[in-house]
Amino acid sequence: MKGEHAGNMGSFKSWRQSRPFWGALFICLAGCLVTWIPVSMAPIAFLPGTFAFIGFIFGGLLLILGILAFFSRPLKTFIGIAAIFLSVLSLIGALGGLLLGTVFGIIGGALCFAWTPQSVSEDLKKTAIQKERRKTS
Amino acid sequence: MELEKASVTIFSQQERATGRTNKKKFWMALASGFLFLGLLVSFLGVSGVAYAVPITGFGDFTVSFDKLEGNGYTFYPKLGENSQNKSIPMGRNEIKELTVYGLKITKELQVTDGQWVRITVTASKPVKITGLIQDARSLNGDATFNKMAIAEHFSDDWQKQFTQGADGIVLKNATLKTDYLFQNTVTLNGMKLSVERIKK
Repeated sequence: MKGEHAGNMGSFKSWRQSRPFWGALFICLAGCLVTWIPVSMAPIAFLPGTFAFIGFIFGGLLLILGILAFFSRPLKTFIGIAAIFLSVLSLIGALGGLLLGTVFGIIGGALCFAWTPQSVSEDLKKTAIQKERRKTS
Repeated sequence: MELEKASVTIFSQQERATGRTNKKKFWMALASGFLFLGLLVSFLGVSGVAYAVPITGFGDFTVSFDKLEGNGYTFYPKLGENSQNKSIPMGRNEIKELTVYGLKITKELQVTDGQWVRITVTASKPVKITGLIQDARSLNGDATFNKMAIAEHFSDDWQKQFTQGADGIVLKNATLKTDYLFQNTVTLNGMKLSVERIKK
């Protein structure tokens, strides 16, 4: 049972490490915060001439980008840039999720943008070679 | 030889792409994001415009001004909430475009037992607002309407049974006990915010 749990944790860890997990999580959080402002004023968000409905669009797009970032690694550069752009623009219409959404979105976007894929074997090979060198020396 | 063996053993394991955060790229992207944010905020600051500003959930706050000139005025009764009551009767004022002279917004808040603070927002220059929606429980002032129409409507919803509208409205020396305030756009030139401790 304990071993099974450890196995699950291990597979989750490797799943997490194989994608820009924290970036995606921050973008999703930003999306929720940005959407929360227009949701809180839903009765007037769709009145003609109001900007509040834009918050729904920005927040929704951020959520979609965050979810995409979990599952689509090749798009991580685009997702990162788009998330930063939308988070800043969300100041208009949603007050950037009380600014917290904007900050989380910028951090998440930057994490996604900066995430660079590597293969496990390269890392392990390096570690193993270092260990062997230590042994032989 | 041993080195090769070690690497071959590891290569036989299932290869799975992992990733790392490139610190240089991360800081570059983060700085760009905050730079963009700064540019947008400074643009909004220079133009003095904040979009879609909701002020709600504070309970009663007092809005007073010397003069208000507006176009496209509508009033209807409704039930709303404030910090003390879940449902309380109030009136909703909607004005499409307006200019307010000598605006002053005050709110008194109890921060701890017996400790009260008063937040005051004043604008020394005329405040231009579009898309104003305001819920008020009381209004005192001298009002002048242009082409005013008061109408009753047949509806099951009591909030739609009565409306008051006018093409133009001028309010002088007014004080409004407000529970909800929304502006589509607002230009607050000469804005000043102060917080002071008061005795109650």
